Amino acid sequence: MAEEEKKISRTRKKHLLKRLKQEMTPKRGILYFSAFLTWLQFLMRLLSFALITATLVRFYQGASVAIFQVSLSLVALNALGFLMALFAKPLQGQVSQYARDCLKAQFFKAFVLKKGDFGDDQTPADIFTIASQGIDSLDTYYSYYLSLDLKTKWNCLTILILVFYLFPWGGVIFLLVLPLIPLSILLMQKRSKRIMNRYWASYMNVGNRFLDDLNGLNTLYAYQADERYEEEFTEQAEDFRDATMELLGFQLQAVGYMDAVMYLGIGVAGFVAISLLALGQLPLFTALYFIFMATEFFTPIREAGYGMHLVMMHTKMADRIFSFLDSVTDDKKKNEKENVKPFSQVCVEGLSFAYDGHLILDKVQFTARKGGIFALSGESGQGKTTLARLLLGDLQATEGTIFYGNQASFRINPASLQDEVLYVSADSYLFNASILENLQLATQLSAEDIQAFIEEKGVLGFVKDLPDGLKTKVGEDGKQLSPGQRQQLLCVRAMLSKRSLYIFDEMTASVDKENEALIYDLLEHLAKEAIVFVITHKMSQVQKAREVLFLEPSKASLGSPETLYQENAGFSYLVDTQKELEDLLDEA
Amino acid sequence: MKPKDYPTTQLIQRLLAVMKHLLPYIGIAVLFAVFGFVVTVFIPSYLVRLIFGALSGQGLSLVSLVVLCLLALTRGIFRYGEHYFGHFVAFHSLFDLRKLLYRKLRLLAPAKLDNKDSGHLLKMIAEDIEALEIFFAHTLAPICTGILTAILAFCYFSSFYWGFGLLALMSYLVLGVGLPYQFAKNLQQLLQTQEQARTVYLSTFLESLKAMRDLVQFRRSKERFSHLMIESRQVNRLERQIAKEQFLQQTLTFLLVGLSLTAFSLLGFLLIGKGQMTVEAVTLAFVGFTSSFAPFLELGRLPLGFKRAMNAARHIFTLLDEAEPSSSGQDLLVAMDNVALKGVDFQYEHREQVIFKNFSAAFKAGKMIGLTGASGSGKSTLMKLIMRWYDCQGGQIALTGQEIKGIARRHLQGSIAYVPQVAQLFHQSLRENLLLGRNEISDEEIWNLAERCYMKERLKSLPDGLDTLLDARVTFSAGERQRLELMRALLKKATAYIFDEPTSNLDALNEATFLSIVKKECQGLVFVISHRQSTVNFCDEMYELTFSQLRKK
Repeated sequence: MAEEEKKISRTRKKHLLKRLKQEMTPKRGILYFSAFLTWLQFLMRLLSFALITATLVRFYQGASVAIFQVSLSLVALNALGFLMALFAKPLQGQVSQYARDCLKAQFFKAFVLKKGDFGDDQTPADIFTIASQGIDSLDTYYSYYLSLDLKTKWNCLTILILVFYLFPWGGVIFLLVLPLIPLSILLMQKRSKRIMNRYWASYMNVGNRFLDDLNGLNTLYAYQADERYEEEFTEQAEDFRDATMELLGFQLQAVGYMDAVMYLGIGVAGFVAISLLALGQLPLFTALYFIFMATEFFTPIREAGYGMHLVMMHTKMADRIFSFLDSVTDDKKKNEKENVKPFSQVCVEGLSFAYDGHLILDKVQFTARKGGIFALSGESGQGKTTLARLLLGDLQATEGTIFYGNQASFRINPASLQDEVLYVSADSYLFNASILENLQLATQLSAEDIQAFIEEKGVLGFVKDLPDGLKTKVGEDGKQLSPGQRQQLLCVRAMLSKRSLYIFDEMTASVDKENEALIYDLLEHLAKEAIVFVITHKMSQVQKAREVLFLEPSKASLGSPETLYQENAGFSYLVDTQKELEDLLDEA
Repeated sequence: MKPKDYPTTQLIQRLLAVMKHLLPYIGIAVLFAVFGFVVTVFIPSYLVRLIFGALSGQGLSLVSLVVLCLLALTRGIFRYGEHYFGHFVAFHSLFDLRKLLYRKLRLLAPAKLDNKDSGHLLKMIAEDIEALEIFFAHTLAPICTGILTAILAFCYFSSFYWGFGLLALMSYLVLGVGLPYQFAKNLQQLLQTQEQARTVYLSTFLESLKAMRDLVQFRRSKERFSHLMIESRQVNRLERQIAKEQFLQQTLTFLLVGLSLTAFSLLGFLLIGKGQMTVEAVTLAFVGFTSSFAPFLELGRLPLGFKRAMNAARHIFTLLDEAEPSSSGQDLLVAMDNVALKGVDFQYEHREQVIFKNFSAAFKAGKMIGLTGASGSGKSTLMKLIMRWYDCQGGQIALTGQEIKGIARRHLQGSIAYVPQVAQLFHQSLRENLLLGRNEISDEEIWNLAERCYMKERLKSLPDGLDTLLDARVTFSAGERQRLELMRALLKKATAYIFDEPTSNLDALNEATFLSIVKKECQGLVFVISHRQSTVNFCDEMYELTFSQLRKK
């Protein structure tokens, strides 16, 4: 996070703010109109000040004053201003909602394009923070900051024009003082580099550490480390507090400075006004009115100063939002290609894939048909998942072709592949809904038809024992089910979707022996109707497959499990060592 | 945890007592704010005086300019001071509250965080701390400032004419108390409904995100997103209501300030008209009044924060008032050759279910003891009694003849290594995760153990070896996490090992790997709890626990 803070350059900052503003362009009128109405209320305030000042001057000059009329006018001005501002009430929040809706829609589109794969360094939790809380936190920017910004500019400009008209010298002094305010902030930022560095060095999210430690408190207790962790936490938190305070103390000087500058402007301009008054060159009305208005000139600027740190926070968020959106490119020329049609065999010819100059798959060659399981096996890091992603069209091969039936991969629109190819892993997701609703994600079948399907195929046997049957809620990501039940459900959901090709990636992770057998039966059943690839590191499963592609660092071997066992040393070694281990469980 | 029903006055008293050392700093912040207020009112008043002085022919000396400049400077200093000490209090209270609760939870460990809701509890604590920080830094000081400045302003304006003082006071009351209170009542309702709608929306959102891949594959993403968009709009509609309400409050405040000024000036005009006051005096009072609103306008946002803070205080004091477990016993040398339970009665506090009634059992070191039974039968509880995480209400537990209540609970932990069902990894380096402070253990020893646990290759592949920080970017499979936890336990060199459902998230291969390491490496008293038949079968001795009965199989 420290890095991130430093990286956002000034040009990038400007660019980001511009893009944020672009999001609300079609609704900009509303923002301006609403600000205009509030400005009118402010104008009424200036008029009432003028009237009060004029009345005081008349009194001073001994002229007669119609108090009743004056009071009536003052009340009327206030009421008028209020009524006009009221018209702006229904407009509140509209711009913000529009802009955030646009951003969200863009995000959703990006999600679909990325198919839920957010890259290595971004977890769903990160994306969630950006896409949901991040975009919504921009509400303060759109509904608070933008109108504050307009208010500041318009109000100050109004007063400045008035002052120039009535008392040009005062206007000049104001103009001279004005640049001192942002200057102060810039100066402070430059000078505070060392303190900044200390702050970022001690930066470590103490709040997160607090939760992290306490979440594992029982472990810390069991290892008698809790006392030491408390001391460490206290020390770290105290150091962080101290560094923050040092930094803040420095930044707050800008706040004080701003106030001093502002009152200096008022004081000096006031002094000049009075000098001119003494010389008879300025009417009493102007001198008094100037003093009444002076504070109104500077107050919004000060408020805008508070807005500054809001903007800083929002540019950080905007950076993350737009970086994410920009990382997704919509491939627009896909349309000339044909959509994939159902097929009954997959033929891979001379397929190679390199990543970062590192060859992962080298001229892989095989044909897979329905009728029996095709296993992809080998130790992790040998390209099993890469091969799956090539088959899914998520990755493009460096060399070689995949034939889906008789359609070659380079003729096919990759997005259409998901109509015929389905990828399922233990990380696939179950919604916090009933078993039935989760199954219906994959099919339009009615509840009765699904029930019939389950009985006919003899799958999901555990559902019969559940009091609510298919209507049982599975909990968030199926947490109410055992891992075995959960993964069975994922497989049956896949079966219901009727695809030509299935890839099952480590479906028996976290599953005990009985469930493993159940799941394997299910997949074998499915392999009679469609092409089924099974990715697994478990050799006991690989041995049951009809055909195996065994991936090793430099080569890929194809064959039946029996031939591979006889001919491939790596394969037979894995089979034997794993068998030895698993036998331990059976012997016991 | 149900919060106790402390009355608000008591809460405030206790909060002030807890944060006693911060009160002087709050006082300083208030003092600076009040001085700042005085200067703010004084500068335009001084200018008005100079105007009327000039009109009556008094010469304008440069001294006045110097005075004005100095005033501007002090104004800046006061403002700095006000903010500095405000933030000083904020960061100190944040620090102090965290420290306080960290310690309390530590002293309540392990029982307090020994259930499934503890994650929720911790999240609430974090939110409560934040609410209280806002109370100390940004609520208490403005209220005090408001009261003091109101009194000052009342005296000052009354010195011109009593009606001015009264009018000012009334305006401040309406602007600083009446109006905010009224709006807070409306807003609270709105905020609550909005918060509820938002929680629902966020969980749907997160779920969609996690299921993204499947939604795309099953061609359901468009449908899902249009549904999400509708929910988002509903939340936004509620937000807009809040925005409207806030806008109304802002506009109404502006109107009321205008009306106060009108009333004030009219009263002045009448007094001038009757000849009771000079134009100069009225102008002076009026200019003072126009610049006196700031502290009261700041009070506008407070009522909501105050309510939140009181709820937070209620939660936190409920926690702080919880009784700590007894710290009886001494740091005795503990042998773990055998464990004997005799006539043990146990049930959890605040829960009806009796777990053990007159329960007796004996276990001996040297064999791997498997323990099975339905969930809720008390397998884990039995272990936690042996570790003295809880004390039994009746009967006796003896470790190699030594009554367990005679051994200090904290000290006892040193002899037992406990491996929970879900591995607990900290946001620390890998080394620290394995050693948890046992820094006398060499890297060589760690690597040796890693090899015996089939983890060497995996750990070697990490970017910085043992110094790798375990954050979201480093992902281990369930089997690997469990073996890391096992390595941590083995490095502890305990004389007793307790494994609580260690294999429930592992496949057969990982299960076999894990158990064979346990069998090879763990010496002394070894318990393995599992509902998995294959795991229990692996043990040397098997017991089944049902209704406070232990049956050897």
